Parts: sequence; structure tokens; C-alpha cells
Amino acid sequence: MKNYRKILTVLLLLSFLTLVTAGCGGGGVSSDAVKVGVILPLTGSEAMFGEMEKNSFDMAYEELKAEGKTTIGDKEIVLMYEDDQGRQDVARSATEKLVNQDKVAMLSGGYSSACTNVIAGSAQTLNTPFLIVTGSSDDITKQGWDFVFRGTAAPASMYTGAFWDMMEKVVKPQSVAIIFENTDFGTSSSKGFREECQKRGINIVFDQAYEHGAIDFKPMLANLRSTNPDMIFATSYVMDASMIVKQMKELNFDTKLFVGNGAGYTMPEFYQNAGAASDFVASTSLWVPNVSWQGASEYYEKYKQKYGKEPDYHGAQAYATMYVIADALNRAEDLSNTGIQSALKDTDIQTIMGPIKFVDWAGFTNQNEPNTYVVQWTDGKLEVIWPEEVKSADYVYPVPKWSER
Amino acid sequence: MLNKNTLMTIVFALVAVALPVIIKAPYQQHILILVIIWATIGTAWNLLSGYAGQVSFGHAAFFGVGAYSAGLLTLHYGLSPWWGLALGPVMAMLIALPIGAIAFRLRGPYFALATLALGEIFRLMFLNMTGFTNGAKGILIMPAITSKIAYYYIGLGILAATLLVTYLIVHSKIGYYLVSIREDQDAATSLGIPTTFYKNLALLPSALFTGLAGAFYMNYVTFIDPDIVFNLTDISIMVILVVMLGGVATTWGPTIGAALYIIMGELFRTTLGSANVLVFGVLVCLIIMFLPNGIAGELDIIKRITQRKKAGLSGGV
Repeated sequence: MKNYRKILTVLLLLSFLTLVTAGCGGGGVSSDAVKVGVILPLTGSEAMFGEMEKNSFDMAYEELKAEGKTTIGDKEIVLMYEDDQGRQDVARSATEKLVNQDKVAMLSGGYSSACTNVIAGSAQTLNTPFLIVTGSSDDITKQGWDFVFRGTAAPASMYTGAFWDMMEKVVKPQSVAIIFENTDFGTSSSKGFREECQKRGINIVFDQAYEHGAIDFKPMLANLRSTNPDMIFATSYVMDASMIVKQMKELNFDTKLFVGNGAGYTMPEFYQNAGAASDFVASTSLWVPNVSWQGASEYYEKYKQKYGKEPDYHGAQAYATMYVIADALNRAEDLSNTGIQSALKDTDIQTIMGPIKFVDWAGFTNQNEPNTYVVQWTDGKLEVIWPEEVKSADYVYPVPKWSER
Repeated sequence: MLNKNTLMTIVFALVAVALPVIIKAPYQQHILILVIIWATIGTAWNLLSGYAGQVSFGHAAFFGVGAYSAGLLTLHYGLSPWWGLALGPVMAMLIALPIGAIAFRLRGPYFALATLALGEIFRLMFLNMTGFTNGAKGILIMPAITSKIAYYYIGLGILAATLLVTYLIVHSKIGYYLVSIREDQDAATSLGIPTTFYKNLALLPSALFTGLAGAFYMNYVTFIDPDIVFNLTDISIMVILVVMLGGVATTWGPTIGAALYIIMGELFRTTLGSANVLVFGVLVCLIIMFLPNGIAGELDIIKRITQRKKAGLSGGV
């Protein structure tokens, strides 16, 4: 008797909740809309970036709406956001829901590499076009998945294009040290850097991963100092990044050049946390507000005014992606999955991230050839120092010693 | 004639088998598959921690080893990850043996802390053995089967086996020994029960089925990295919440808990926007506060409340 009740409860709850779930989705959106599913981490530890990207999507959408580009025929483009909580099984649930239940025309979003991997795999299996915003793991566009497109994000190992140009012409280091956080992004981007060093015969004197979110980097930095490298190359998110440079200052550890690999080293929070220790720290970057692409600084100012915060390249990626989506949907011959797929494939558009085209190169499929920059902090301002055609300030190299500042 | 319990179990099984035929939408089927995975891990955890009272905070270790068994077979030998369903449970049991031998010398909070460390040790190990495990880059596979129905029935088979084995163990002599160890280990020892041996006897099937669920998870979700499958909060703690919600030391508790947890979580995620985790967390807290024995454990109370309401209503009319 007791078991009978239990079983009944399970069945009732199951059927009830499943029905409710079925009833909820897609209810608010009319059927004559072009739905675009956007999967971002809106809660959890990556929520800060997810929110910035969502805001940027919304901002671009409003601008496009004012230009009348969000209506295709008599159908309006509708963005449907889903939270992946930074967890890949949730990302998969979100993909399944958007494609199978909401019947979206295409997908976008994807912040962490882990989530982007899963969304891309599912999108390919479900034959739904997926335009990646941020997820940068090399493997994602190396699977030959023809429904997966990556425009605004460079593969992690290619973050350093402009940087190598500058290395060859200016820095010419004999020895380098590599430190990186032990995540997918950290390992794949330092792998790219390591291979380039080996190809160019640069001596790697120190090469170590650290645990993301550590608080004491001094033991590692002390070991690092004893190897006396010409240059340090670091991949970190923002809290670790500012801790590392602050502790270098405390240790009075001089090096000719400290280069961060984008991510934490270009964020406004980096300067806020590290203060004067951020001076002369250089970084590779996919985007900075004062780059010369049209609309970049306008986007930055407008975002700051609207949301009261400074956006970084993540926001710019989302903003540019929205423009790519609107452009492709407007050009698509029909709004079927293959129609949108071929429209995306033909993309040739100028955005605040530079020109975007989806091409197959070096083993990648549907991957834009990224524009990269080298930037350097001066008094809390991030200046573009390389390539020289788009620079906003001259580079400082070698950087002054801590005692001489 | 069959007794009522058996009859209802058969009805329940039939409904479970019929469910994907009734619910055809792939999205709902996906949610059901997640429920099955969590019900399996929950049931396995429940055997060790619910019945035997050895609260484990480290089931992510078994889950992750199971998942990596499947992933590494594909990565290094090009074998189908489905072989992981055979290798995963074996590997999980193999790592459980020494762990049991060491950790079962500890009791209560010390055992919990030891298992907590265990999960983290495995996470760091798999993160840093980059040559062998691909490190933080994780392992990505292309699924051979795309039909949800196939995954559903395989998962359901795994869950049924887990429930059956747990039921048989709990309702045998071993089960009574386990409960006596939970209630008072010293008294159990004094009665001549070899407590360490029986604790291991609960740990091994628990690890086996958790490893099996891990291998199945790899096949289904198609991507793993150490931070995901060895995650302290998203695996080890979540399984505790699932079982707490459903009912500790009950046969159906973990399954009820998994269904509630996954379906409610998904429901809130899709309807409440950024507040979803907060609302969900508060709700879980409330359930655990007011129904400390979980849904299945407090059925009498729930029944009484609903009956009182009914009585009140009819009285008013």
C-alpha cells in the first residue's frame, strides 16, 4: 500500500511536470517569427561575461531594428536567450529545447569552450546552423562540422598573430617563460605559443600551469625569476591576472616584457584590481575600443552610457555577431537550415571586429581569419601598439624597471 | 496472486517503458534521459550513504573514472565509447577497493572529508596528466547513435539493474547488517558483524553503478573534461541533494529526487531567467527543511496534510 502511493506520486509528478515543461516553451513567440536561439552563461561563475554579451546582442538588435533590418519579409527576427549556467549538460538541454521545441532557425552564443563544444556537436547532429560568439577551443572548427561557424572568435592557438609579427620585428627574445591557467582556454592557447617558439628556436626556460583561482603566485614567480627569461607569456582570467602582476611588483621582479594572452589582461577590471602594477603590461587582443574599425569606439561609448560598465572584446564579439546574423538572415534565399547555412557561408561583412568571412583554412572549417592586435597598458588606458597601421600609441620596450618608475 | 507491491512495480516499469512512446518530443526525452542518469547515480549513492550510513562526498571520482574509461578508449584506441559501459564500472570498482580499505578506517565526518578529498584528487590528476587524458581540453566524441529512444532504453535498463541490485542487497542479510552499521557501528561489531567487510560490500556496487552511469553519460553528452565529471558541486554534492530531496534510504527516493531535481531545475531555467538558480536553491532548502526525510521518506506527512485539506474542504461544503 505504501509503495503504491509512492509510485503514484512519482508518476503524477513526472507527467505533470513534463506537461508543464512542454506547455511553457515557445508560448510567447508568434509563429511568423524568425527565431534565433542564443545560449549564454547568464548565471554561475561566467555570468559576468554572459550578461555583457546579452546586453551587446540587445544593443545591436535595437540598432538593427531602427534600420528595419530585423524584419525579413513579414517575419521578425526574435532572439531567444537560454542560460547554460556554464555547465555543458545544461548547454545540451538548452540546445535540445531551442531546436526541437522552439524550432529556432539558427543558434548562436557559446561562451566557455566546454559548453561551445557540446552546443556545436548537438547543432551539427540536429542540422541547425550555429554561429559561435566566444568559445575558442581549436577543436571546435576542426571537426569538419559544416553547420558550425566561428566568426568573431579566433581559434585559441591563433590569438597571437599580430603578436608574432611584433616579436620578429621588435622584441626578438632569446628566452621566454610560459605560465597559464589549467583550463581548456589556457592549455590550448599556450600550446599554440609553445609550438611557435619551438618553430622559431626560442628557448622556453619555464613552462608551468597553475590552478585557476589560486591566491598565492609567489612560489611560482620566485621559481620563474630564477630562470631569468627575456619575456613572460601568461594566459589568465582577470582575478588571477591582476594577482600575478601585483605579486610581481611586490617581489620587485623585473622583466623586459610581460605579455598577457588576452582574456583577463585586457579587461577594465584588470586595471581596477592591479592599479599601477598594470603599467606597461602588454597583451594580445582580439579587439580594443580604440581600434580603427568603424563603429568600435561608438559601440564602447554607447555601451558604457547605457549599462554603466565598460565592455571588453567579449561584448564586441556578441555585438558583431548580431550584425552577422541579421546580414545572413536578410540574404538567405529561404529560412530553412540549409538556406541560412549557405547565406552564412557567403558572409562578407565589415563589423566592429573587422571584416568577417567564413573560410576553410589550415584544417579549420567555416572559420574567420582573425584580426589580432597587441595592446599595452599606460596609466589605466589600453593602447593599441601593433600592427603599426592601426596603432593608437607607440610601444614601450623594454619596460622600465619597478625601481625606476 | 501477486502481491500489491510487485504488481505496482510492474505497472511502474510498463509506464517507464511506454513513456518515450507517449512523449515524442526529443527535448522532453532528453530531460527524461538526464533524470535516468541522475536516478542511477542517486540510487548507487543511496546504497552506501543512505543504507550503510557512510556519507560520501566523492562520488564524482567514480562517475568521472567511468566517463573517462569510455572517453579514453576512443581517444587512444579508437574503440567505440560504448565499450566504456563494460570498462567504466570495472575501473570504478578497482579504484574503490583501495579507497575502501583506507577510508573505511575513518568514521562519520572523517570519512566524508576523506571522500571529499578523493574527488578533488582525481580532478587534479586528470587535469594534469595531459598526455594521457588530454587535460583541460577534454575529450569530444561524435555519437554513433542519434536517436534519443535508444539512449532512453539503455539508460532505463541501467537504472532498472541498479534498482534491482540495490533492492536485493538491502532486503538480504547484508542489508540488515548495513543498517545496523549505520545505526550503531560499535554495537554491530560487538554482535560479530565484520563492519569493514560489509562497508566494502556496499561501496563496490555503489562505485560500479556510478561508474556505469558515468560511461553512459560520456556516450550521451559526447564531451567531458575533468572540471565537469569530477566536479565537487555539480556531481558529488548534487547527488546528495537529489537523494535528500527524494528520500534517504528508500528504494524509490533517489528516482523521485532525480525527477524532481532535473525537471524543476529545467523548468525554472527556462522560465525564470537569471533568477533561476536562486529560486531553485531556496525551494530545495525549503523541501529539505520541512521534509527532512525527503519526499519518499515523508509520504505519511504529505498524505496527512492533503487528507486534512480534503477533510476541511468537504467540511466547508
